[in-house]
Amino acid sequence: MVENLDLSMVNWARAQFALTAMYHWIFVPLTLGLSWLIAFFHTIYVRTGNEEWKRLTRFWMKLFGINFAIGVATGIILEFEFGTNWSNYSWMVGDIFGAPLAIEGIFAFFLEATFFAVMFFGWDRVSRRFHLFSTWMVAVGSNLSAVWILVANAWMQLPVGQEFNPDTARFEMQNFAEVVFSPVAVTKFTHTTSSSMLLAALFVISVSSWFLLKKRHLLMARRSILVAAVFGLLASGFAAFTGDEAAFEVAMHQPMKLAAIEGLYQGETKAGLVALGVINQAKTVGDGRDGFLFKVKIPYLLSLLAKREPGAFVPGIHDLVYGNRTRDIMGAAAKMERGKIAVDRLDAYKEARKAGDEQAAAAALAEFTEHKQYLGYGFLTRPEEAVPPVALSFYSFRVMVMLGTLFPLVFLAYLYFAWKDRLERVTWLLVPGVFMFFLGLVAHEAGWIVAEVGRQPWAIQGLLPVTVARSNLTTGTVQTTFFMFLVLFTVLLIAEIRIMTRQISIGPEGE
Amino acid sequence: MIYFLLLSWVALIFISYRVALVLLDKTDLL
Repeated sequence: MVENLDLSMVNWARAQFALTAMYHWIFVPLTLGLSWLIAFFHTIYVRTGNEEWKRLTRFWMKLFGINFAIGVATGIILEFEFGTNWSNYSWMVGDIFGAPLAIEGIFAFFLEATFFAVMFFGWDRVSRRFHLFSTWMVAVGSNLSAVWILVANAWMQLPVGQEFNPDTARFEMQNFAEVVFSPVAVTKFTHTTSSSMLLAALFVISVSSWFLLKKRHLLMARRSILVAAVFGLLASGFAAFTGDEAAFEVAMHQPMKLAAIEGLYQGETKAGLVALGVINQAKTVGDGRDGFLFKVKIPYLLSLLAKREPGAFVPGIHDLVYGNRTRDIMGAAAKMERGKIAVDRLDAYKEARKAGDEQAAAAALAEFTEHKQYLGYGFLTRPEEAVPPVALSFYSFRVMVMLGTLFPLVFLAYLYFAWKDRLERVTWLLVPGVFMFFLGLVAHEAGWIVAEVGRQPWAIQGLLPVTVARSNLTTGTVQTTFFMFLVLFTVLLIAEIRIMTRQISIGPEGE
Repeated sequence: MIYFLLLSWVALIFISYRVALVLLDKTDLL
């Protein structure tokens, strides 16, 4: 597999962005989810006045603070990479993509950061009510930050509310509300944040299980587990529901991504879902070989999930590359022909404008307008380029779903033994429980791989391929910064793990 | 669907808190 890697500049830039995003996502979901759990703990303390709950709240707050700092550091680098490695992208879609990023920075992050200081240092310095309000505002602020970032990402998957301006060669915002309330944005926000709640619940359970195994802070651990297991169980149900909705949106707006996730080369009616399978890595689109070396299918399920009816037709990769007349599907090959006309007419329009020939400019513009929805396809060199990496999409999706099925069972088991007051004795549950947080991280990263790898070759779905979105840099410069970031992030991660494990082993203050 | 998802998301947070509070009370952990 490695010998087939294309190590061009654009792929190094993609690798660098993936590296930064995946490191960033180690820290962010914990911030998003743990902020709510801390708000719960703090509220219980204010309601009961019990100092034990205060100690418990401060302990989780301390771990939240360590995690928060490194999440911010990696997030800032991520935003700078749009300018350094993806300057054409920033130029062409900055008017739209930049808006939610700016709102996130000056509105949500400022809100979150301001109240974070009050939450962290406000004990006995501000009134109890205002302090509690600050804790809730940290949760609201951090999740509002996620809203805007996910709106930006959702726009990359479904570019609504925009219009291409042929005079500036930029995409311009036409309808802000359409961008913010795009169905993909809402689904993405609810799915991402609910799975972050799930991850935070796993974190609390992992740390508390370790305390129970060590016979330390038993009351704090049992209290934390009970609250986290309830939150995790409800969040995992909601994450499954929104995940199904997200897959439905993908089927509607990104059929190629769905076909890659399913390894579906030939479209099918009554399509089954591949529960388990081994992808045939030698398979290429149109070669007649089977896409799988082995598979176990659940009949009708893919049609049901993707189209909401068991007999529906689900298009395959072949249909989407070469077209399917009987199903009225235009393939990437036909879209490329129209896209090439759009690119050519756009150039002709610019030349005519430069020469002052308004009549020729108007004619070129009319032709361009007719084909402009396929503009992105005009930059592809082969129709097969429209296919994302199938094996990576297929396996990542199954890792996410299988782990997502395991977690509610874990929460149920913890709830049952907490209810029976037998948590300290079930070491068979506590030992794997310590590692559940890491499985949660794997599920999260797999989910983002599905979302982002499945969108390839597009930076903006159907409008802008990554090969055009790139900066004009040499491969060497991107390689250099790639390894620089790799070292930097690894050092940051090791620092976080060391500080976190040290603080966990110290435990809550005053005991 | 959009409003349903957003309202459910808010409800998830407050229902989780309420259920946790009830269970803490029932198990004498409050």
